[in-house]
Amino acid sequence: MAVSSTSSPPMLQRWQRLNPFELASWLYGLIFFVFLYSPLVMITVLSFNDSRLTGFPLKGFTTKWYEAVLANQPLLSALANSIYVGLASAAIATTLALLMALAFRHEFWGKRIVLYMILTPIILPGIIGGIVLLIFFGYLGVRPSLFTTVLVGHVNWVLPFAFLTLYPRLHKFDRSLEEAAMDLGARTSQVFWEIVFPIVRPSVIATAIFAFSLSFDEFIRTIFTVGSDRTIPVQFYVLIVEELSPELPAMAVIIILLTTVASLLGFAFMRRADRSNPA
Amino acid sequence: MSRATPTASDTASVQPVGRPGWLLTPGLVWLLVFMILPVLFMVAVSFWSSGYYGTRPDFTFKSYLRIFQSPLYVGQLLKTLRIGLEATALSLLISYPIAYIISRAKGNAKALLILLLFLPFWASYVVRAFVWLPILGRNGAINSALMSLGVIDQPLDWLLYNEGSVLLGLVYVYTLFMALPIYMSLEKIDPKLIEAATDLGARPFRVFVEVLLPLSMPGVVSGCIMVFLLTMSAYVTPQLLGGPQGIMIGNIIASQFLSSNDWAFGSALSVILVLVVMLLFLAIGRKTKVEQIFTGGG
Amino acid sequence: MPRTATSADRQPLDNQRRKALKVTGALAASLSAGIPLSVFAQRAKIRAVMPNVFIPDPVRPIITSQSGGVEVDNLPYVSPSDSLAKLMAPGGTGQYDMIITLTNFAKGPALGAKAGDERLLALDMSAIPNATGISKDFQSEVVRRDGKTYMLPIVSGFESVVFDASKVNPDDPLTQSWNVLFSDKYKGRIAWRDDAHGMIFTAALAMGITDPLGMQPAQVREVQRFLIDRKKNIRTMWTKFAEAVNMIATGEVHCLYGWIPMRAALEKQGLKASNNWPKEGLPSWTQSAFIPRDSKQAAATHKVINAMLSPEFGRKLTDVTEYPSTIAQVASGYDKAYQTKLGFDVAARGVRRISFELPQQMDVWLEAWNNVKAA
Repeated sequence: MAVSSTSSPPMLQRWQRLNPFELASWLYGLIFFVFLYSPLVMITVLSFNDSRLTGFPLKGFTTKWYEAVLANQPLLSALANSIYVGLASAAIATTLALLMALAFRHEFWGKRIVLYMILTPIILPGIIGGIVLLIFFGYLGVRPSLFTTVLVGHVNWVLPFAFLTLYPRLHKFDRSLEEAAMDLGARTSQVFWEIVFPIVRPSVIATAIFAFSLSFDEFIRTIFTVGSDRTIPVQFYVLIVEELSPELPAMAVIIILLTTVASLLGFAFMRRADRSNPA
Repeated sequence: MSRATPTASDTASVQPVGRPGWLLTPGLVWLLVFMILPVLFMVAVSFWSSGYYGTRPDFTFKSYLRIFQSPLYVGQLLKTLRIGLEATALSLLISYPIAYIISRAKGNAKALLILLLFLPFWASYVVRAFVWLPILGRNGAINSALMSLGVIDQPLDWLLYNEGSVLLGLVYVYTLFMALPIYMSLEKIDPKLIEAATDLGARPFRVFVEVLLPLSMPGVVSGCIMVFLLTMSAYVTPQLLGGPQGIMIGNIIASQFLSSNDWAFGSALSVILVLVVMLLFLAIGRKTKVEQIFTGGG
Repeated sequence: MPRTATSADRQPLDNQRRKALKVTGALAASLSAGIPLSVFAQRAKIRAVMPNVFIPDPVRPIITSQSGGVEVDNLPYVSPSDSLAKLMAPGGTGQYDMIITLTNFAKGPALGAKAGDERLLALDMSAIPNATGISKDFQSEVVRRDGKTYMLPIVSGFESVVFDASKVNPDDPLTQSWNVLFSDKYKGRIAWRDDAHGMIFTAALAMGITDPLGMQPAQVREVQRFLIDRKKNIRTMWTKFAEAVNMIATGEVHCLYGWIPMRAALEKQGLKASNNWPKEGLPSWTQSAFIPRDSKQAAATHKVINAMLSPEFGRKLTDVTEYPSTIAQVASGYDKAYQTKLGFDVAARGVRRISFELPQQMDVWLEAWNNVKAA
């Protein structure tokens, strides 16, 4: 019954040692994931529904929506757009956030003010975030497009999250290594690139991934700043409310599959990398 | 000179690498130009006049007067705050246990659980809100199932198009934002603390209440703040699921810009909303040091 | 000395994430290779803001061939207000080449208060010969000032009640009245449109007010009270086309405030749908095309407008969407039954057509509607 941090016993023995608490955990986990996944199961079921309507009743099995999706140019462009913007905003936001998180390890005047500034995009309601950019860029005469207005909106949204993810990790960072390096005469840039960065790199990558996911799913700021381009969320929204698109569930499923496959591949690579490169 | 075990406070006198000025500049410039400036501009617009011919520069308080003259807008704001609090509480209730369970898992199971937690997040937010329609609708999954089982003979109308369905939608859509910070802060807790408490004879429940809960508080607060802020700006979920009763302030503000063409008024409403949220945030910041929230306990 | 745990220990997934990033990048590269590089295309392309429903895929080739190769790139459409806002925003007159939106809504602000304030380009009518084909019913919708033409109506439409004919009896007098949206008969099976103009206009008609546009603020408040009282009969409100269609198709509601193309969409899904011709009056409108003053592709846009006024385009558009084209030849090309179904002949049938203009005191209406929504 004691919490054990050693290797777990074989399956059979574990079952025999199951206590109410662990049983409750299993049960709760099950219920939770059923709740989380039922809507996804629903979308999958509907994606095979032979009906022009996204909803019940179920009229028959068909794969025609999937065939339609794969030939759907607007969807593929939207996917490409989402990926490009995601990569760009993740890169920019992670870099800016990393620099600022490093700065926050120091003490300086106005730290609290700067922190609030960084958190502004979270506090600002999403729709306001989009509207302020619409007005702002309108006055500047900047035409709405993917890598101008949309990118700005995405970086704005993602930056505070990147910062919040990085700051705790960096804050805990053991400075004795830096001190040692500087005592040995290393330049600032060397200390950073050869000591600090390699150790925080996993956090930076994790943050970049998180940033990418946030950008990929971002909708409300995007709808005001997108011109004639579309990202995946915008495309889905248009399909839901404007065009009666029976392909929508199939599209959603394909997007989920793509990203799951990407994550699983990454997981597999990571396992291999860990084995060949013991820490 | 040797040190025993270097801790963060030990090295407080060591200046970390880099100068804060240089490090902050790129981020600050971005925020000032692309965030602060547009917001200030919106504040300016809130004092302009909007009319049939559009919005023109002016200086008038009439938009603000309109907000406070009728109980309508303040009422909607309060309702949105209430729904935000409810969604946050509900989300906390269901997310904490799962965060705890995942943090207790080991190795492959843990990675798998994290993946499973993230995965739905990859389906677009818009879709995740929309999909509740065929589930809760009159001819949706739940009603069809209940009717075919003979439990009811008329579909249940109250499953959809009210505050409850909006709440459900919001909690569902933002679960990850609550579960993740709690999980991360649970992860930071040294397992030895738990072992020590157990060795001293504390039963699991007491370990939870007196060791885990307080130490995971930063994650809890962080998650609550995030979910609250996100629900305060909800727009698509109330629009799709809310029906006549479930609209929130986000919808009202949006319609000022999208239907009524009343930009000054929409800006004024936005300013009020932002002020309210900021005040709440500052109030929390007074009780718990804001920085501590995000450093995971300091 | 035990090493204090670093993030490297606690993040077994970080490397996974890095690889995921690489894979995603590779995916993006391969996708972009498959996307046609239209940047290198020689075709002229104009930027348009218009409801997607007026440019369904089947009509695009007609535009291209009738205009001599010009293509239309239309932005995600939000609403008439948004389209107007795009035009009225600083710099807006140069960012788009063509806008199509509700004539009545846009003409006031787009033309400005006096001559010289126009944010639109005066149209070169010699480049738009097809404009002569506009039927006389809609000639009054052409927007002119001082002898110059600024806006040309492309499609017309009207507000109506769309319903599931298997659940709502078309011959019931209630059905042929706006009161079907407000009475208790279909309680819980009605949807309104989240739109101040439309709902207050039709509620006024239902209450017996024959000239909604001439209402005094006190009367508007009466309508507000009426609406708040009847709100208990609705299931929900819709803001966009597809939301409305889905609501009837899935059986959530049986009738709603809507348009003919919704009926067409429902029929395509096999549902027995219909719409009514309310005895109190049929609010009618047109959507017109215009060119913002500083468009850089005015010549190409003229060709597109001309293409959209061609009988071929009009016919195809009406075939696909069931929105009546404004071109006379299109109407006369259909048989009587279809003309009736689409409302081409409402004037002849004695259905009262009311121009769906904006009221002078739109703010009063907006405030009233806000009150209804919040109640």
